[in-house]
Order: sequence, then C-alpha cells, then structure tokens
Amino acid sequence: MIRSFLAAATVALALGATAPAFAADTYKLEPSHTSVTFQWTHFGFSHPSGKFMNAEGSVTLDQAAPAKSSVNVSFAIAGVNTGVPALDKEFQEANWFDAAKYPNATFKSTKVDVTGKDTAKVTGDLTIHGVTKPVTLDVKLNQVGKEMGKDTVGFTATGKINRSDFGIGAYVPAVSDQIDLSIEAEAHP
Amino acid sequence: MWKSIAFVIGLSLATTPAFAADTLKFEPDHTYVLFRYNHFGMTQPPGKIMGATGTVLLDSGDPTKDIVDITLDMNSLTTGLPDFDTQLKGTAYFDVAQFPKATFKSTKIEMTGDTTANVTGDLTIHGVTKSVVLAVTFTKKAFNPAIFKTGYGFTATTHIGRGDFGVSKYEPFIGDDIQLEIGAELYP
Repeated sequence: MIRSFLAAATVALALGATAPAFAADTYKLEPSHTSVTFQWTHFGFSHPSGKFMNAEGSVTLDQAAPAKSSVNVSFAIAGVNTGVPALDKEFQEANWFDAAKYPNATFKSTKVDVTGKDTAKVTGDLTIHGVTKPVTLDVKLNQVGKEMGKDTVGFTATGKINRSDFGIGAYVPAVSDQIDLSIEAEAHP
Repeated sequence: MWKSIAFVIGLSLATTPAFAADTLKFEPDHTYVLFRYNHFGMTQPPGKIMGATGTVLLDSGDPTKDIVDITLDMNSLTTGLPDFDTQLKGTAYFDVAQFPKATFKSTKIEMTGDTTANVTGDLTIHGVTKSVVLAVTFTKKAFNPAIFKTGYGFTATTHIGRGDFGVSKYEPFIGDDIQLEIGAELYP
C-alpha cells in the first residue's frame, strides 16, 4: 500500500505530470463498510429491512472518463441480517433465497451513464436466486479521500427491484413485491 | 381472541364508547429503529435496534391526546458486524450493561396533516434524557389476516446529535448527527 503510493508518486514525479498518473484506479470493496439494505412493505404498515454485508468485489473508477468505470460485487446470502434471527434463518430456505442452491447474489455493471459531477446511472446484471435481470442504480460518489489515513472512495446507491422477477414471490402482495435497495460502499486501492 | 373480538363488537354497538382510549401494543418483530451515521464523509452505514415493548394509548376522538411509550432493547443493536456490535454495546459507546434500554415517552402531539403529526417526547439513551420531535406518519389501520388482528402502522423520522446523549466517540470523523428511521406495527 505504502509501497504502491511511493511507486505512484515516483512515477508522477518522474513524468513531471500535471495530470493524474493513472486514468483508472481499481479499488477493492471494504466489506465492513459496504452494505446493501433492502426494504419492503409489510401489509402496508411499516417498512422492515434486511441487510447484506460481506461484499466481495471491486470498483474501477475512471475519474477522467467516468462512463468507463465499472463495478463487480458478490454477497453471501448467508450474511443476511434483519435484526430478527428467525427471519434471517427463514430467508435461507427454499421458498425465499434458497441459499443452499444459490449462495450468492452478484451485480456486474454493464453501462455507466454519467448524470452529474458526482452522480451516474449504473446499469448492470443483478443475479439473485439464480435469476439474472438488468437493474439500474442511481449512484453518488460521496468522496475520494482518506479514511484513517487510507485512500478511500465512498459511494451511495439506490434502486428498486421486484422480488418476483427473481422468483422470490412468497406472500406477494401482503409482503410487497417491490424492494427498495439502499447501498453504501467504501473501497480502497 | 374470539371473545375479545365479540367484546369489541359489543362495545362498538354501545351508544357511547365505554373507553376513552384503546391500548395498542408494539409488535417487536415489525417495529424497528434504523439509524444511520456519517462515516468519514464516505458512507452512511445503517444499524438497527429492535426488541420494542410498550404501548400507544389511542384516544378515540382526539389524536393529540394519544400517548406513546416505547422501550427498546439496546442489546438487540445490530449492524451486521458482530465485532462492531460488541464495541457499540461497550462502555465507549452505549454501555448497555449499565443502560440496557432506550425509551421514548411522548409529551406533546401536534397534527401536521390528516395522517401526519409531530410527536414531541422524552428520549432516553445511555441514561441521558433529551426532548426530541418525531415526524410521524400514520400508514395504515387494517385487518392482518396472518395473525387475525387489526393492526396499526406508523413510520417516523428524526435526527439526533449523539453527543447530546454522551455517546461522542470518534466525532467528528464519525458524525454526530444520527438519522433515525422508525417503523412500528401495533395491535390491541
């Protein structure tokens, strides 16, 4: 890490560069600060939620040509956390995520449409429960900076999916089909 | 259960209500407090507190006379990161051994719309009590066929400063402002 900094600094100095040394940087997602919160409506009363952590994956951020950025991430279904242990267990079962058969959910970006200085619509293939559908997320780059002295990028993203599209339709419509996604992600070089 | 439904029907046939208020109880599996904080300006990680017990006394005619009294179990605090949960429950943060409960007791309700209200109350966290205002939306009253009872749903939002409650470790890198999103389901 320090070494790669020094190397980058050396390269930049050697080139006498005024522009960034690299056009695109690849960051590894930091699992303890990357979360997917999913929220549904329960009989219209309230909006319970669950959370996936344990992200494995990377973000390639091309600050010069943001449309060339990409993300590739996988989450273990076993890590679901709703705050209700019985529900966490139920979600693993065959009529929900069927984690024995489909242990991971994945998202691979296919297109990035830049919508503002630090915002983009990121379309990608979302695979849950063995079913792949295109999904578009509204992504905001919160910061490129340091966290505890460590180079870090932070993102927030939101999106909506219908769970029945992924073959997880139990109790629709009493338990809503629409799932609101709210994603927080931090990544380090 | 059938007896109580018959009882309620009996009451509703009476020309004057027998009780001024109905008592609703929080349903712990569908009542939650989601909190979000700012982490180095990078993200707004969420966590959750469950284990709600308590009541809403629903006045039959005047919602500004409703009374909210809820207790949350600080041991239920979960971020999805077991080690971090242990830290948050420790003496550096919430000290749940000494302060195992968080409570909110309403002191004033002002209607802001047909289904919305500002609910002021005393919030106690970490042994410190402060007055906070919740922006509450009444989402629904309906029969829940899954448990054969009529339920009431509410959502609410507010912001608090964690330093006000003596939980200020790592400020300002970890933000003082805590965004709260509350959902509640209640049944008689």
